[in-house]
Amino acid sequence: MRLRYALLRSLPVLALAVLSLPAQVKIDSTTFGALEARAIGPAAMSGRIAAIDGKPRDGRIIYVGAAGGGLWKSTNGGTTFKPVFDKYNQSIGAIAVDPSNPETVWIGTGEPWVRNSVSVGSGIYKTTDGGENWQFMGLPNSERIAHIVVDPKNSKTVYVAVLGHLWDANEERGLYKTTDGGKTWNRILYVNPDTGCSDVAIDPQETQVLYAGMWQFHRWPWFFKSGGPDSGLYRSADAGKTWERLKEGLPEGELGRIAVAVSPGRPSTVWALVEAKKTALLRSDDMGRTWTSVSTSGSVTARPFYFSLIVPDPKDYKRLYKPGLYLSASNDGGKSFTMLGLALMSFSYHPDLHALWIDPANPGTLYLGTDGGVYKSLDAGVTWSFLRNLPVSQFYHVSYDMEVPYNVYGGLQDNGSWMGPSESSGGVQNKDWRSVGIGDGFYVFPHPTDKNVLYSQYQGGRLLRFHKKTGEIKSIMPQPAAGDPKLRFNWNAAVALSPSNPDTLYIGGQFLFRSRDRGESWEKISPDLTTNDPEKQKQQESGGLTIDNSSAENHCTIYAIAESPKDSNVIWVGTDDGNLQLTRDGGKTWKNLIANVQGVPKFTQVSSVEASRHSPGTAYVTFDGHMLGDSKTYVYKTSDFGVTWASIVTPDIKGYAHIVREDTVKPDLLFVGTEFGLFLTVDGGKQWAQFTGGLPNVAVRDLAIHRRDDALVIATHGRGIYVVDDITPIRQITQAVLDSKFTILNSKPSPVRLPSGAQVFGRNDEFVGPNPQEVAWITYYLKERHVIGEFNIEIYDSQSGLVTKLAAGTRRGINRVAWPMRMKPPRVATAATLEGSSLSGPSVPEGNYTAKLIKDGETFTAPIRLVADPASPHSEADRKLQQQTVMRLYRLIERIAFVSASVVEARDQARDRAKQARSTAGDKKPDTALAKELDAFSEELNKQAASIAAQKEESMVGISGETKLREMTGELYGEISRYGGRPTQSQLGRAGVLEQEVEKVSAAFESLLAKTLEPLNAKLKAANFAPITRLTKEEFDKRQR
Amino acid sequence: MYTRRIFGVIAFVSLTFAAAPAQDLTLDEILKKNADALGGAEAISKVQTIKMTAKMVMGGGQMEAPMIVQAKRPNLVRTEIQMQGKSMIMAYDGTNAWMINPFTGSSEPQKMDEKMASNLDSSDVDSQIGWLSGMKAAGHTVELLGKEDVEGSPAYKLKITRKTGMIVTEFLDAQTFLPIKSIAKVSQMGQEMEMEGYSSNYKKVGGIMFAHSVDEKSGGRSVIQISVEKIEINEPMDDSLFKTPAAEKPVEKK
Repeated sequence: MRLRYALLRSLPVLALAVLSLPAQVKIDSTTFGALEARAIGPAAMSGRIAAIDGKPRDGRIIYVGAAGGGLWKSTNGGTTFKPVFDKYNQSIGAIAVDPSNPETVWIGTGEPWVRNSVSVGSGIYKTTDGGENWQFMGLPNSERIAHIVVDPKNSKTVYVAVLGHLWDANEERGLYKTTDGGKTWNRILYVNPDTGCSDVAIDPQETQVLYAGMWQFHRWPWFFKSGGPDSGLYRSADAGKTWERLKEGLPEGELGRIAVAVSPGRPSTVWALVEAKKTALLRSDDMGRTWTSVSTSGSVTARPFYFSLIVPDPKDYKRLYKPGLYLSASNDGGKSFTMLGLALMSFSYHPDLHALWIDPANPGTLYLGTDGGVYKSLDAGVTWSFLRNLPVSQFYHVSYDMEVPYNVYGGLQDNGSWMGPSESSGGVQNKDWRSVGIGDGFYVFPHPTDKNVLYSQYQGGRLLRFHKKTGEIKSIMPQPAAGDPKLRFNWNAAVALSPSNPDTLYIGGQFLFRSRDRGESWEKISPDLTTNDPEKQKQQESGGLTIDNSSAENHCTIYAIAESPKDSNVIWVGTDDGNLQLTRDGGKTWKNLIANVQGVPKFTQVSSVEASRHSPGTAYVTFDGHMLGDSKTYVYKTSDFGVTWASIVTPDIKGYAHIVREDTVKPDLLFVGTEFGLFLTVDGGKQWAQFTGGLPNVAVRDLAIHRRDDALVIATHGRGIYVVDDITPIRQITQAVLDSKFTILNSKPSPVRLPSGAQVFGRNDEFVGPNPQEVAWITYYLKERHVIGEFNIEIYDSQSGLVTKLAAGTRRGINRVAWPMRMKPPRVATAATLEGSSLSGPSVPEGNYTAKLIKDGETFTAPIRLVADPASPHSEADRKLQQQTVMRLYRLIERIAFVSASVVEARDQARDRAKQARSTAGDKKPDTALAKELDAFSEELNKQAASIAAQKEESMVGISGETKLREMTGELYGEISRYGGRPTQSQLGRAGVLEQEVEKVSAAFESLLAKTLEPLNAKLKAANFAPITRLTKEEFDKRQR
Repeated sequence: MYTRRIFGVIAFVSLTFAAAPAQDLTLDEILKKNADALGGAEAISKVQTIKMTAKMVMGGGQMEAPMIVQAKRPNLVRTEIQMQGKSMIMAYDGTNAWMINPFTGSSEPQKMDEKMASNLDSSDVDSQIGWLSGMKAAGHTVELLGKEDVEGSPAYKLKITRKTGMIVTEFLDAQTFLPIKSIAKVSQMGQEMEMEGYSSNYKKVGGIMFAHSVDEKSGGRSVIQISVEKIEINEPMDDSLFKTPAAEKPVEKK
């Protein structure tokens, strides 16, 4: 298998019909055309949800905004969801359904829950047709939008709380207002470039009355600060013309993040959740003029930067909900809170809550947005069901194994570590995924040779060794030795497997550690490779007003490790504080190369290092400066062990870069994952294009290329795992191909596989990732879209026999036409019911086929090679016997069709002549004797027809229970077709019996004709009627074509 | 039940290549170019009936069925799909829609609901030709939504709101002004399915351009491919073809 694939790769591209034009064609997103990424989820664990809103008078219609996975709409209360925003920014901050025109929905991009791993937005959007079409409405530099309010009395007036930049100061923040439906915006409340608007609320009756929270905050890679003198709670009584900064009743000292909400049931009651040294829930009963602290309980004070949200009940002003680490509710106007969905310390939902929508018409119906998807309650929060159909999981890394089919492994934000199959019977479903680690998950690697062992990890470098069979977890993180300083590990600490030794792995703290015994012992093989800046190591003070030290701000740590596949002594290391280190002697000596990299600001994080598979001195590096306010794309290459570096970025790449991956086969094919998608080059970085086939503009955090299956595995931070099943067509794209009008691209040999079966009853409420199609591909490149004229594909077997005809793909770029490797279905006798098994043709035998592509009168040929399924346990002889038996039954089904048609047509002619004989039309005398003779003949034929095929119509397939030769043969054909190995002796015997039965019927028919036809036709002739003719095989064949 | 996509999609023609795709054509200019591309308004308006003989391929060639589509002005439509020698018929006489589906229990005609009727209605003569100004003249609303890429080809996006309320989105290739993609929400057994039809292999029949290949996709995957084998224009068609046939044996009431 290996050898054959290797040979195939070395084959030159069959460049046919190259009509080059002088102008060079550049690659773009369309170049890769029909190559599409396949989403395999999972939705077993979902991802962080940032916002939810619904239709006021029809609670079945809801919109869910994911932190990094786009906007999803349900029209059935969450049974199914559809992504409706895939062409735009995937980080959703705020959703507002216009209460007066619910088909109008406003989306603010850029998540406001500003943890370390948060994405960035790109402004505000509007739909006026329920999400079918979207319009960009401005605020392009807002980065994140916390809340949107549409004036309930005037759809054209909208207020937008722009939180603004997280990692640097910016002007485009504060409260914005439009009065013309978004054509123009006015900033109606602004403090300074460090203070954003964290929330806005409107009085639904007195719509001139507005409330807004202003929040001073800043995040650095090593520190977070919430709060300052410029935070404040504001009120306006004139629709935002003038504002009063409220003081009365607010907590003492500097303030932090502020949330505010008006009770819909009694708008004079207003709630404010105010972060301070003493964070409190405040209540006003006089439309915000005066305030009283009603609660400082743990329910309301937890992690204000992350959980600043308060949701009043739509009807009962005394009831309100506080989503936080868990959900709590108060029934007494905020004085006391009860935890919901929490029994015996066990949650009924994923903790960490950021969104809650209550159906205003049914206040017991809640939709809760968590760090792990959406939950729904129909009893005001007592019990919860998980919506299992939102594949918005947020992966950090991905790897694969060599099983057939292979599994993928990865760790997720707040959802542990998981493994799942790249394909599975019935599609990749939630049940196919297995948890293999805890906490926030990051790197996961299966052991290269021991199928039972894998490594996973949770935040701060806590490395685990997981045993698949027993489920046991062993902590194997390196511990500080005597005299060691405190070890520092990143939130997302670097872990790497050695490509040279299966038991060797690396983990990076401030030092590089190497284990040669699966993590049992560790060797420190470097000095501190970071800048070790003490100013960036004050995490215990991080958080501002509320200390928040979860290891997310750990800094001056190693972030990327790569051992060269060409030389195990060459190891590249990148740090989160901007060092790029190399050893060429297995860690004895190190050299910091960062000074050789031109054009990257100092201290910019090295986000990935890729050591080339093709040359030991070659490496690729990405840098990510967005946490220092620099969102440029940085990708560099060295070919001389880091002495010189060249930027290989073009403006075609969008977003800060997370990962660069070199193809396993073609050195000039590189993939880069950024915050806004997947990009690739086929010429070492001269031209780049975004890969958009099936993949939204989602953050791509990691990539793996399956070296056996030539698949590209994509880890997104917001839409789970995607797989491009076969990247070999991309490897064949060269400038010559791009410039050609039409080029056939080689396809890999296709295994002929049989569908596996299990009894599954359908459902709509769960995500199912599609499997790869079980087809052979005909792949080619078109420079222009084909619109006018003939373009078809014919498939021929090795004896030049036409197997089937297919419609050609017509798009610009790479086209892939699927051939399911089956013959046409057999011709089946007409009967009262469909014969289900005979609707499918049999699989064609393995071997060589040819596709003829006929385009505008020219013919091009492409070879197709079909091979046995490598996973098939059956011997060649058994497979052959199966195929022969299927073909034997195929011919029998067609034989039955012919016999049946012969009998039925003779019968119908006899009936027709009998009718004519009885006719008294004109002054004709009926010939009753002849009619009776014809009746007897047709009656006899009808008995024969009834023995061939079922005659009863049925309301459900198979319910009549009537099985005749046609049905029995079809069933046997289906049974044997569905199993790829040797048929049973009993089945083989049965095939013989059925063949004999058919011949008996045929013989009976022949003998009836021999006995009856000649004398009967003589009488018909005498009576001036047309003779009864028999259907010839030639006529039958002609008719069927 | 796939008729809408099959028919509504198949249409439009233009051999006229715009010298350079203009950025800001008006709706009227686009409709004019579209009509010219198809063979001209005069020629199209003379089309009274269309009969298409096609092959419907499902499952990438695993299943195939011959089909015949007939349409007559103003909005009569009939489709017939054959499997294992039996015919499934769906038809619409401008008022009532009916079907005969021998595979679900009976060969008696069954009335279809309004949504199914509007699916068929959207497969009328003008829809099949894809003559947008004809649709406009017949009282359907045609709006220009802008320019959008169809698999990398720039296209004009037009929204057609039919008198039945059904919405069809047509994409006209900005180079040829032929329809290359069409989106419709098709109602099937009460469920809405969004079908995307991609048209190609345009050839002239009786002076009018017809797509001879349509790839129907749902959820991004190809589900049905139609290869048109023959198109006949203005063959006589009796109205009774489209009318609900009387049941063979009237049901006895007890």
